[in-house]
Amino acid sequence: MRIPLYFLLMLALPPAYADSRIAIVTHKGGAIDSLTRKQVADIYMGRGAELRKHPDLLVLDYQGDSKLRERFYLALTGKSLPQINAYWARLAFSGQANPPRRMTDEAAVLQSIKRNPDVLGYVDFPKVSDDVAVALTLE
Amino acid sequence: MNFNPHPSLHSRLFWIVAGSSVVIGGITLLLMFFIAFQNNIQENKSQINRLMQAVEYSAAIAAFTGNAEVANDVIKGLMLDETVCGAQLFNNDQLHAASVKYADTSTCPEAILHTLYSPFDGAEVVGYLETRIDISAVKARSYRESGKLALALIVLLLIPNYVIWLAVSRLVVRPIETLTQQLEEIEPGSTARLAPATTYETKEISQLTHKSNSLLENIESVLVYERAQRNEIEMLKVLYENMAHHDSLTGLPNRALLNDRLVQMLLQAKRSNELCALIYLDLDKFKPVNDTLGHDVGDALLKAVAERLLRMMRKSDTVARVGGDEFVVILHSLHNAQEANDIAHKVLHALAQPFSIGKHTLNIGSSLGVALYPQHGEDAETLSKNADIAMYAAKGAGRNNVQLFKL
Repeated sequence: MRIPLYFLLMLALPPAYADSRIAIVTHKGGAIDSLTRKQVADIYMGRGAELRKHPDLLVLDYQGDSKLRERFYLALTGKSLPQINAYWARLAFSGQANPPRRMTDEAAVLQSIKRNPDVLGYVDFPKVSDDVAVALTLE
Repeated sequence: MNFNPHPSLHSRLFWIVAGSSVVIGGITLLLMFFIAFQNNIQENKSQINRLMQAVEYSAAIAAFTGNAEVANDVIKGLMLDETVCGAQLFNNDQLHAASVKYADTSTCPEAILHTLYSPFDGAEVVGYLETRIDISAVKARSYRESGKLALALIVLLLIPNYVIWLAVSRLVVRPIETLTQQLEEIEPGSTARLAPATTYETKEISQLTHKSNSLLENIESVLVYERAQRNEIEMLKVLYENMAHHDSLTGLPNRALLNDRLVQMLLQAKRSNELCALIYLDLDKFKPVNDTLGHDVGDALLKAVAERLLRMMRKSDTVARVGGDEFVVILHSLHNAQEANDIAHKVLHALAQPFSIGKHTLNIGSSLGVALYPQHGEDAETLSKNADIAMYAAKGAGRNNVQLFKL
């Protein structure tokens, strides 16, 4: 029985797109060691009580509605991007809103994490490098 | 019209009509208020519940993030409702946003508490939203609603009531007033009657008019009868008075009246020093006439004697019949004793003339006794007795003569 070559190739190579995990990354040896999913959600959604525990923490997000961002929030809160955007829009009027800082791409996020000790960001799991620490992995 | 302390039918009816409208309005007000209040409380609770549901997401966000601005916006939004007395939004962290309508929070005991869940985790409680209901505002609203209803009902009731009032005044009051006015002008016993109503004639008013007229009819006939009776009584009174003092056969005064007149005359004579005379007269042959020719002839004879005597005397002299055939004459204001004697002789002469009674010609004579005042007595009793004595003397002297009393 002949097995088609491309089928064998599919089995041999772990496909990059198949890994849907998202890593919550932070500075290696930084202020944050590991975080629960709830803690991450509280931090990203601007919960006052949680943010006060990390007064100098810089939280990073992405500009635009990328696939990664969509998957991240869906995995973290179960909400769609429009819902998340509406949420922040609602808070924006108050002047007290504290949304995450929007970065251009994952490279910029990783760069920022490497440079600063108290930064939190998220990237596709395969993009994680050895010089950053993973605080949590979202399936 | 006479003053009457009773209120008029008009005014009494007016107050009944107006009063009942107001009372019904008042009862409606109370009843509707009770119903409206119960309704409004329920409705208000559900309304506030809906209001809270509308702001629940924002409230949850505020509680989740601890954002006081958003929380205050939520509270402000809730406070816009007039029935919200106070609202507060708090989480188990630091957020506490609140607003109250009155300084004294105990005035609004009814509270609705909503638990706020995390926008991202429906199971996690992040805070609470509490709203207090302003019962007094609900009450005020209920009062306004029921008040409008009661007012509308009063107005609605006043229209038919006014129509009833108008109808009663036209159909009852005015006809009664007209009848009263007519009754006032009618003299009892007159032939005047009540005129039937010209407009709005009703069975009852017509019957009242009819019955009143029957009554007037009765009154008239009773009064006419009574008047006739009264006249008859007057007549009888005169008649009986006459009978008591007069002789029924001749119409001459009887003994009672004679005595009365004698006493009067003597008093008068005493006062003016007059001379008077009393003549007793007895018919000589009356008894045989009566016995042989019958009472009718006897009676006729006595009448004729009386007439003859009266014709001879002055009007002021008294001729009385005091017994069967006995007559008495009082003469007053005489000049002397002779005058009395002359008159007695004139009477004697006159009665000696024959009487024509029916087909009979009767010759009777008379015996006369004369007593003079004051010579033969100063009081009626003595004078009478003496005149009587003189008359018996005349009879004793062979009848048909005059005897002067002799002391």
